[in-house]
Amino acid sequence: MIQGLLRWLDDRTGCQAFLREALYEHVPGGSRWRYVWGSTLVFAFVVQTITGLILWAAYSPSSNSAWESVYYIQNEMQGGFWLRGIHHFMAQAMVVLLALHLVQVVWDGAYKAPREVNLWLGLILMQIVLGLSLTGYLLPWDQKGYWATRVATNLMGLVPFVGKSLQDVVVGGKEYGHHTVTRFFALHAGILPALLVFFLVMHIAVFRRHGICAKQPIKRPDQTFWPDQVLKDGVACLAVLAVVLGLNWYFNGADLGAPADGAREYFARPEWYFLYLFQFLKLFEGMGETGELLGAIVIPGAVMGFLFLMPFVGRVRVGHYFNVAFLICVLFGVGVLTFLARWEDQHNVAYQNAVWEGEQNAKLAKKLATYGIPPEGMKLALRNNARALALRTLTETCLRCHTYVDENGHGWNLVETPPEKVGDRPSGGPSAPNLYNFGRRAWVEGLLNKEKIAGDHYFGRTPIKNRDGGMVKYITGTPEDPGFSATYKPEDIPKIAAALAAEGGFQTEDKEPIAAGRALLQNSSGCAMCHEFHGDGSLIGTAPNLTGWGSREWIAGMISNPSHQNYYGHLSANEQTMPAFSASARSANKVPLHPEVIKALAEWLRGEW
Amino acid sequence: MAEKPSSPAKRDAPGAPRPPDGSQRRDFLTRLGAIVVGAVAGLVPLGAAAFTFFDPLRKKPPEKLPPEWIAVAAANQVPDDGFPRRFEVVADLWDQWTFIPQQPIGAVFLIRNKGESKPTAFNVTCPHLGCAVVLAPDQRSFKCPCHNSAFDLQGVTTPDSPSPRAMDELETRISQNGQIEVKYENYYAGIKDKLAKR
Repeated sequence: MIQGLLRWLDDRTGCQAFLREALYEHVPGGSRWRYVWGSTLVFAFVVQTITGLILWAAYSPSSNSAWESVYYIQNEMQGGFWLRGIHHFMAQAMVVLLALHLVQVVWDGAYKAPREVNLWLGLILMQIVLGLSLTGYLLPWDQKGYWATRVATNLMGLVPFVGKSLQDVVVGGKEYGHHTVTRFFALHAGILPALLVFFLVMHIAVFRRHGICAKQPIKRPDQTFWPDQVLKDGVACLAVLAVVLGLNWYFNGADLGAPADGAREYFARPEWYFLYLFQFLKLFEGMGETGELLGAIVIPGAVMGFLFLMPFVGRVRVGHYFNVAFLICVLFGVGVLTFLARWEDQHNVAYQNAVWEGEQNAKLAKKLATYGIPPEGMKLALRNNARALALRTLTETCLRCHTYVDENGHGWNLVETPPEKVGDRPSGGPSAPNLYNFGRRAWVEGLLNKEKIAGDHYFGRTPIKNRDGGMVKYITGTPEDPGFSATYKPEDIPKIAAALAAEGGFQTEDKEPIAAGRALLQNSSGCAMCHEFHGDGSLIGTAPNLTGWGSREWIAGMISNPSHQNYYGHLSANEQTMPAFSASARSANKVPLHPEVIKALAEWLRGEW
Repeated sequence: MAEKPSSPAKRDAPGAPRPPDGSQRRDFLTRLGAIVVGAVAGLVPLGAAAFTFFDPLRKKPPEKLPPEWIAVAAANQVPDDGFPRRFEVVADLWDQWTFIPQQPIGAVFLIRNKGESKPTAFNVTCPHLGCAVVLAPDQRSFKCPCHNSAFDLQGVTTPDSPSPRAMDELETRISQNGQIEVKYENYYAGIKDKLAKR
């Protein structure tokens, strides 16, 4: 019955012959693992098509809804984390697989006559895949994609004669906006995939015409594609998929930065597989327009052009070995440049700070998005948001003097620039305490540590360091006057820290050390020589008031006016380095901070959002 | 993917269409007609598509361009200490169909040297490839975080800088009510000449 049906269908379509043609391809010398790369690429493309279509079903291409819809896919939709993750990491896997496929083809000499055209078709396919990567990078419309695309499209503008027009057409105008997204989306989801299918069909057709380029000499009996090679291909595809899923798990999903904002600078970096081009451009410093043309267009174009000419080079004696050596050198150069780009960034404090700032902004945008995104989009919603303004104040003002660095050195660092001339003083560097963990036990324990208080993380760069009778001299002590260690034992420090952390509401358990610490803080031959702590108020104005230390109100008050009696009012004018930020205390020609922003800053420092 | 030629035996079967052998002229006209009709049918939609696709090359009406002079700061916010300060440029913005009133469209560095009445303004956009230039940590130069282009405080490229031109200086003036105004403009990146995007 079923056989009859199949025969009926086959009579009218010829599907059996087609299937046989597809499956019983002749594989001289039998199946081999080195033949799997083409199949894995087809597999990757199929995966991209499937995941991409479903992403499309939820994506909204416009400058005020692209980020928003991607946020929604990633964080709200069922399985969106994995769907976008597979699409994101499979795209990267595809680039790696392309490189492997190319190496295998060149190594095995599979580009030589009569397979020249197939090499060219493959190289065109490579360009299309790289185009898909480039366009896909922008679609989330986050800071990373936006700024990288600005660079990429400006490079397009360098093309002689038609560059400017080309740039305008791709960008959809002079400025980046709705039409940049719609055009990139049309390229990414329509035009480029259609071209890819067109060239892929030809690539496979030509491949089948010439058959597999078997590894010589043939030692094993021939086989057919089905089932031996199909099994190997299947295993390879499964391995690729496993790696992709593993990457998504390891990196905790595809990244989504803060929404794109052209008025908010960002350290543009391309996706990792374009980093070598990025680094290559840096080599042409001081050469102006010519250098750029060379680095961005002429030399990469010449390398690509040479790959197209490989079949002809391969005809002459040792030509094949030259081709292989050339490809290996190119890949080695790519590797070195990629490594250099990474290495430079890892040692670039400003870049690391910007990355940290970007993370903070992205975190805030995602947090605010959970309350619902207004119709005008997240960028504008962030614009006047007190928390967003607080983050901006933090990096533009607070972190000019303060640092914010965790135990691993991650965060916002300030480094000293060595003096240019003899006699100059070094510039930059921190001049105020590290704000990381402020108000918590660890911060206090470091403050009360005689090794640390005069260091860069505390008061080592402030005028207070040298103040007679001040905190730094009290903690470090001298042989004549041991200071802190005369009154307190080392085991008292955790108790004092617990009691102070409790003031800010951080340390609510462990009642015992808190109570003990409170008593220690009120010791009138110790802390309570200077600091007020739940006392009668007689010590206000001799040192910062520790009552409520580290609470939101305490920090907000400190930011508002550090010269207030509750804080550092006892210091002389030239010892008071931190300016006031509230409207009432700020000097006349400086813009004060809105109370909501000060409150948001205090909350951020306390890790409340 | 019918790369397999259909069975050749069929081609010579009686009754199968044969290559035309009728009058030469008629044959030519048929071929010409097929080509012309086919080309028109194919090119019209292609032309229509291309025509709309190249819309960005059309000149936009002038009212969609940013206004000429934009106030960016109060005069007393830029003391004559030669130190660069960054200010956002706020103006109405058209993004195709969306009108966004009073929106940051870019930023400038303002520097006023000792004795100068009005500051010099630089667009923060790097003339190399369009990233945003920041003040270097030593505060004595500008630096682009992307490809390490560097400029001194006069906006001039330093010798080891890949940028093909100096930072884009913008015209400034002090308005009657004491505001620093800037003629804000964006320029094409990557080229020697300062070519405005208009």
